[in-house]
Amino acid sequence: MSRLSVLISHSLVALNGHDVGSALFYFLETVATTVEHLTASKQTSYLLRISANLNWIPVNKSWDGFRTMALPSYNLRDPNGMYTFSSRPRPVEIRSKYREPAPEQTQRQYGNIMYDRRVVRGNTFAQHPIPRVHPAKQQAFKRRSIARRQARVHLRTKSPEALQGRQHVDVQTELYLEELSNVIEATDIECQTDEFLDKPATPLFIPAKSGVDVGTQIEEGELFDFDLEVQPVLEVLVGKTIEQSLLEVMEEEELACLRTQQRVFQELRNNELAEVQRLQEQDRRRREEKELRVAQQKEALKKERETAEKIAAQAFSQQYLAGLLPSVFTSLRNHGYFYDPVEKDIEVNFLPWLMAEVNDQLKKRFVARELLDIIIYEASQKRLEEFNRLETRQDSSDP
Amino acid sequence: MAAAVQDPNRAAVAFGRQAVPQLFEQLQQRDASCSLRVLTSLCDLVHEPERLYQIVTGGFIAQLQDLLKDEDPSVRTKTCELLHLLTSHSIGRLALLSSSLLPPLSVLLDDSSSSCRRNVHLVLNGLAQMPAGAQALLMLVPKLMLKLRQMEEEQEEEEVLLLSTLSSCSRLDPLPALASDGVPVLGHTLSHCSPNICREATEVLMALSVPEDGKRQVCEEQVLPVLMDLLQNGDLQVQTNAAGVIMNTVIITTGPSSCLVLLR
Repeated sequence: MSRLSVLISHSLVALNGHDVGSALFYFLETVATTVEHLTASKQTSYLLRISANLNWIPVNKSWDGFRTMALPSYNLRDPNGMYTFSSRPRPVEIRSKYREPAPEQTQRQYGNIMYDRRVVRGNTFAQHPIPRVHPAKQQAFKRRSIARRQARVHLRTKSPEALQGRQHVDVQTELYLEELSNVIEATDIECQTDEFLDKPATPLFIPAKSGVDVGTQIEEGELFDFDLEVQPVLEVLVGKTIEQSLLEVMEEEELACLRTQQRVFQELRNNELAEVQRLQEQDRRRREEKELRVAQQKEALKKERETAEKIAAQAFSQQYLAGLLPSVFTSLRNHGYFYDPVEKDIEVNFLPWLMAEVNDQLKKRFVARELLDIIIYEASQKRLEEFNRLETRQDSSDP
Repeated sequence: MAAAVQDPNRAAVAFGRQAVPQLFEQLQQRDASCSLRVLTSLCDLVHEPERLYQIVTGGFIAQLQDLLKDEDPSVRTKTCELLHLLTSHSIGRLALLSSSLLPPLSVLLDDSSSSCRRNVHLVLNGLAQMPAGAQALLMLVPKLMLKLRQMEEEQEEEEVLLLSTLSSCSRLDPLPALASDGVPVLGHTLSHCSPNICREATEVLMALSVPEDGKRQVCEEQVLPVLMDLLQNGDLQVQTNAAGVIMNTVIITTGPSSCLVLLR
């Protein structure tokens, strides 16, 4: 059963290391062992079922289908019940120590096995396999191992303590004494090739003569007649060249024709253009001339009109002012601006004096007459009054 | 079969239909050393009309825009040569017009490499032969006039091509050239000794003297004496063109009077 446990632990290790092939191997080894050693019991049936299930483990938890397809591992059941496992040799994958979960489709990076850290180096005689355990589990494991050791120490019967003055000594009791030392005897063996000597030149390999010597000679005219053969080739060459050159010449001629046509057109155009310009110029001149004439005519008309107006004005004013002078003279004469001085003098000085004198005289007479009139009036008035008085007296007296 | 002899200056060309697309794919990779070789192969292929059609319809012309701005002058020169070969066909010209390659080309007019400039002038000349091309190039006329003014003695080829382009454009519409003082500048170039330049310059003058303004300027700028001298020039074309200019100029009234003065 200890072997079984060892095998199981190996398989667990392998499984942990995702090396399902070896895991399977170990597992099925255990199956074989148990089948060998045990009768058909529940345990074997369980184990067999496990192994059967293992065959269908999703082998590619972190593998790709390609690998299983291209490098299939065959688990066969021998007729004896022996488990056989075969797979194509695969180089170990390079994986980091602390793995990332499920890298996808990594290209097979085959590492050099010489530099693979998982490969054990050196003498394997005295090395222990590295137990892969979780740190927590490791702690528990440590604790459990310590506990177990303690228990074992307690359980183990020890030899009694040495008497006073004596000392227990460990001694080998086997037949042959064995040197117990940790030093491992090792011998170093070296091997070295000799230095390479210069290889002498290989002799020219001349095989031995064998067979029959045969010679042949090609006479002139036997293979082909050059002149005949070359004719079609030459025809093609010359024809193609001439065709190409003819094409080029035709193109050039066409271009020259086009240019000539262009030039002719340009000439015609220039002539026409000159004619157009001449006509334009002529037209311009004519137009200018016409405008000039029209302007001149307008000027002339205007002048004429002005002159006519002037003449009319002159005539009218002459006519208007014709009678001015006589009338002026007449009115002046009428107003007495032209006078005979003697007459004027007589009129101005003499006659008024005369008149004034006459007036005085007359006034005197008038005054005299007035006076007289007044006297008469007063006399008459008095007489009237007298008469009136007389009358009244008379009236009053006569009753 | 003997292996095809590889010209070290040319890239390998694929067979049949794949030739052009594959070469352009190689151009896409922007590898400096092989760009020149690929361009040389392309220039060889483009002589064939079918390939040219393939280039135009495949829309590869836009890729050439980056090459025009390349640092290597030989690459730029080769690209311009390729464009020049494109202008030999009408679809090439049309494609060139419809693509946006004219601004980069006009930038290359001031390029440092003379062969590049020459090729650019070839392209513009080819474009200007077509009325639509001349129409598109009318915007470039002021810049071309500027280049003409700055033209030095050794650049005869460029000058000839430039003048030819200007004449094609001016035939379509002489006003832009007149506006950039075309007549005085051309008067200076007329005194050049080379017959090609004289011929082209007189052609431009003939186109410029069509509008009235041009005729007046020709009389004012004292170009007529030079033209009279050119009538005795050895080259027939020069004489013809000079006569053409005079023919245009004498239509206005000051023309004949000044001519008669000169003849005396």
